[in-house]
Amino acid sequence: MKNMRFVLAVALILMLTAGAGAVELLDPEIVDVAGYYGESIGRYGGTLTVYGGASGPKSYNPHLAAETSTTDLTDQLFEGLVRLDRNTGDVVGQLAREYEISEDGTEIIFHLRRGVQWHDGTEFTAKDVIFTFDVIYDPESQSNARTGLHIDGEPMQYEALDDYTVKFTLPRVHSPIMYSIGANIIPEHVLGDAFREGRFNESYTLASDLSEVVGTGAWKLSTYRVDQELVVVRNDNYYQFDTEGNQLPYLNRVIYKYYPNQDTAVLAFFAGEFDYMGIPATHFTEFEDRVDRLPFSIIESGPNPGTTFIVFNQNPAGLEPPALNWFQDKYFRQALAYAVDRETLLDMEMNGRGYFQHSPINMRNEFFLNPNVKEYNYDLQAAHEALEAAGYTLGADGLRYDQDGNHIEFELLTNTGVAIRQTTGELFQEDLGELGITVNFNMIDFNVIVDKLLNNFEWEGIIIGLTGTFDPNGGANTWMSHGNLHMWHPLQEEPVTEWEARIDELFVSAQRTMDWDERQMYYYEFQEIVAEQVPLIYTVNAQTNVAVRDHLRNGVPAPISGGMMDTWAWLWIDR
Amino acid sequence: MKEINETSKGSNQQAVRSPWKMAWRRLRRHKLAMAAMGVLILLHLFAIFAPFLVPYGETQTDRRRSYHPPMRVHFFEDGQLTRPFVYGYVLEDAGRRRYSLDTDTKYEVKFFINEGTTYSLFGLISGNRRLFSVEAPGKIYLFGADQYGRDIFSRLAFGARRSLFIGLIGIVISTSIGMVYGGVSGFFGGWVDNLMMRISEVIISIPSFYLLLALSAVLPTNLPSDVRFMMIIGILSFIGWAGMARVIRGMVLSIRQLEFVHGAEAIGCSQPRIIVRHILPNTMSYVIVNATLAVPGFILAESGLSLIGVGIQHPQASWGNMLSEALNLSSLSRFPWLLIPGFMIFVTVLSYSFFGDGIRDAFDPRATS
Repeated sequence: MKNMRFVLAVALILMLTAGAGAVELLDPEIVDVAGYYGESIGRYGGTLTVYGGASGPKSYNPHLAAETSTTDLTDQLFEGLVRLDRNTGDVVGQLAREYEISEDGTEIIFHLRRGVQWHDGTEFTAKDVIFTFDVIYDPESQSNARTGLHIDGEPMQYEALDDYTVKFTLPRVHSPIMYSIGANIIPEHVLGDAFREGRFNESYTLASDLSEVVGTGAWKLSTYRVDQELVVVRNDNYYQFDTEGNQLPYLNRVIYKYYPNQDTAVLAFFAGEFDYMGIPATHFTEFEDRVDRLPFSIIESGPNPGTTFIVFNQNPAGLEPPALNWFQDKYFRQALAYAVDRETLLDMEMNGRGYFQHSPINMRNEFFLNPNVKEYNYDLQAAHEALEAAGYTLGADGLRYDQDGNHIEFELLTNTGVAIRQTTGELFQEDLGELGITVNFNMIDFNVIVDKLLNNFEWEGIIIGLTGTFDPNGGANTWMSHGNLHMWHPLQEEPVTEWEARIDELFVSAQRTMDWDERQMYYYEFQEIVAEQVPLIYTVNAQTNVAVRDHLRNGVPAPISGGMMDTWAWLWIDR
Repeated sequence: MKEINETSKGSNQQAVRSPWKMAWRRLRRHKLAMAAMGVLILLHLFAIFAPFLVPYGETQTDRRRSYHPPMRVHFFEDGQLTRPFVYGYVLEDAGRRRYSLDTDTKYEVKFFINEGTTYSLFGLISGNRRLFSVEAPGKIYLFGADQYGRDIFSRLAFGARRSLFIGLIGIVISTSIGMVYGGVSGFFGGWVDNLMMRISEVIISIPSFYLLLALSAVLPTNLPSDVRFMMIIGILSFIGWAGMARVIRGMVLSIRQLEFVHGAEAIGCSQPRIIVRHILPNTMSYVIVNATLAVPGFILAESGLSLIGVGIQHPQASWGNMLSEALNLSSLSRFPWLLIPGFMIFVTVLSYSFFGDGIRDAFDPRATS
C-alpha cells in the first residue's frame, strides 16, 4: 500500500515536470561547433573535471560576486542578453536573439529568444529582464553591474514592449554600454519576492537550497562541498544545438576541484585528475618536460589580458617634496622606464615565454592596440643620460642627487606571494642602485597595498597589476582623472595636468561615438600620451598556455581571452 | 723524599682542579660533543671571516647565470695532477636555465686573488683579496647559484652571520634578563616573588610565533635590514627569558638557605652583592647548559620567520630566506642545490644539541670524573 502511494507520487511529479516543460523553444541558437567554435560534432556523455582554483565560490549570486572563484561558477549558471563573440570580440546575441540600435545610438531594442526555460522549467521572458535591471539600478542591492550601466551617473530607461521585446533608452550615446549591458539575467519568479522585501543581498548565498539557484545557462548547480568540490550537471532544456541538430551540451556534468596549493594542482593534472588546466607560467617547463610522455598537449593561447607595472605616487595629499617633485617630473619617470630589465624578467619568471608590454590596452584587442608607441627598452646608459639631461646628477660618491642636492632614495612596495613582482622589484632595485638611486624594496600584505592606493595615499612606488577588459573603456576608472584607480593621483576634481585633461577628453569622445574607427583614433592618441608621460611603467606580460588532455575534443581557448570556460557546451570526450 | 714529592704534586693537582676544569675534562671525553664543538667553531669562523673566505659578495648578482649548477673542482687533467681548475659552462636555454659543460674553457682556481671588489672586515680592515676565486669572465659556483645568479656558497657565509649570531646574541640578552629577574625574585621571596612570577607567567603565555608575525607586520617597512635583524633578535629574546627566570628563581630559593649565604649576610654584604657574587654563580652550570640547548630555538625561529618572508629581507641573506627559494616544488626538483641552506640549519641545530648534551653531562655534579 505504502509502495503504491510512492509510485503514484512519483508518477504525479513526473507529469508535473512534463507539464512545466511544455514551453516550446521557438528560437534555438545553432552553434557551428565543427568550424567556428570548435573542430568537430561531438558525442554525448562523460564528465569534465577542471581545477577550480585555490578556493570555491563564496556565493551563488552573480550580482554580488566579488571574486573570480564565484564568477567562474555563476558565468556558467547565468547568462546575459548579449555576449562577446569568442573569435572577434563583437557583441552578439545570447538570451536576445538579435538587437537593433537606433540611428542616433540612443535606443537599443532586444528581441528575446522565445521558449527559453529557467532550470526549473519556468519560461524566461521580458519580465525577468526588467526585474534584473530593477535590481541593478536599486542602490540597496549593491549589484556589481551597477557602475558600468550608468552613463555619466545617469541610469538608462528600459521597458518591455511585449513578452519578448525590451527597449533601452540612453540619456546620450555611450558606445561602451554594449559591453556592460550583457549583465547576468536572474529569475523574477524566484527572487522577485526577496527583492521586494529587501532581502536580495541575502539571497543565493551558500546556505541557499541549490535547487532554487536557477539560471538559463547550459549547466545546473548540483552539489557543493565547500572549497573541495563543486558539481554542475547538464541543462537538458538548453537552447543551443549543433549544426546537425544535437542539443548541447554534450557532456553530462562538470566537476570543479579546489586545491589550496597550485603545486598540488599541477601534480594532480599530471596524475590525470583534470581534463585541462591553464598552465601557471612558473610551471611551464614541467608541462613541457612531460608533454611527450603523458597524453596531453599544450596549446599556446596568446598574451594575458592583464597588465603589470610600476607606479609612482604623484599625489600631494600623500607625498611631500622632494620625492613628489621627482615623481611628478616626466623626464624622471621616462629615465626610470629604461631601467626595467624586461628580458631577464621573461627568462627568470616566465621561462622566456611572454611579451614586453608598452601600452595599457589589452594585448588581445589588436584593433585598439597602437603598434607605434614609444618604447623604453632596457638600457642603463640611456637611463643615465636621461637623468643627467633632466638635472639629476651623479655625485662623486656614486649616489645621484636632484637639483636641490637631495639624494634620490625611495621605497618600493609590492604584495607578498607573487614571484614575478618580487623579481621585478629586486632587479629594479639593483639597476637603480647602479644609477645611484637607492631603492628600499619591501613586500607587504596585498590589502595594505590596496589601502595605500585607495585610501591613505602614503606611498612612493608600488609594483602592482590590473586585470584587463576587452574594450579600452574598461580602463576609464584608471585613466580618467576622477577615477579611484587613477593610482598616481586619484579622485581629482579637475585634471591637474594638461595631459591628464587630454586623456579625459579622449575617453569621453570615444564613449560618445558609435563609429569604431573614430574610437580607434582616440585610443591611439591616448596610448601615445601614456607612452610619453609614463605614469605607469609597464613590465612584461605572460603568455597563457593551456594543457589539454588528448581525449578532450573541441578544447580551443577563446582568442579574445585565452580562456576555456566558454567551451564547455561543445566540449566532448572521445574514448 | 720521593714520596713527599709525589704527594705534594698530587695535592697540587687537586688544588687547581676547579669545577670548570673538571667539567672541561669530562667534556673532552665526550667525543660527539667535541666533534660538534669543532663543527660549530668552524661554522662561526666561516661566518666571521665570510668576506675573505668566499669568492663573491652577498648581493653580487649575475643575471645571465640564473640557477647556475654547482661546479666540480678538478685536480687532475688527463691523469696528471695539476693546479685546481673548473670548466666553464655555457647557457643554452635562458628560459629553462639549461647549462652545458664546456670543456674547452678552463678557469684555474687562484688563491689570494684580487678580482676587483673590496670588502671590509668588522668595519675596520678593508681588503680586496679573496681566499680563492677564478679570473673573469669565469665564475666559480661551488654550491651553484640562486635565481639571480648569486653564489650560494658566498651567501651561506653571509647568511651564517645572521643565522648563527642571532642565537648567540639572543641567548646573551635572554639569559641576562632571566638570571637577574629570577635571582631577585628568588632572593626576596614573599610578595615580590609572587608578583614577579605572575608577570613572567603572563610573558610565557604569549603565543610567541604569532606575536612575531604581528610585530613583523607593524615594523616600519623602510627599516634597513640590519636594524630589522636586531629588532627580531630583541623580540625573540624579550619573550624568551621567562622560562629561564622561573628555574633560576627556584634554584635561588634553595641556595639562599645555605650557610655561605647566611655567612655573607652576617659579615654585612649588600643584597645585590650577595645575589650577583654568591648566589648566581652557583646557578652557572644550569645556565650554560640551558643556553646551549636554547640556541637552536633562536636559529630555527629566525629561519622560520625569514622563510615566510617576515624576517631578514632580500637581498640580504639568511639561511631561512635562502631556503624559502626552495619552497616552490618545481624549482626544487630542477635546482636541488637550493636545499643546501636547509642542510646547514640541520647541521647547526644538531651540533648545538650534541654539544649541549655534552655540556650537561660535563656539568652534572653527580657525574664521576
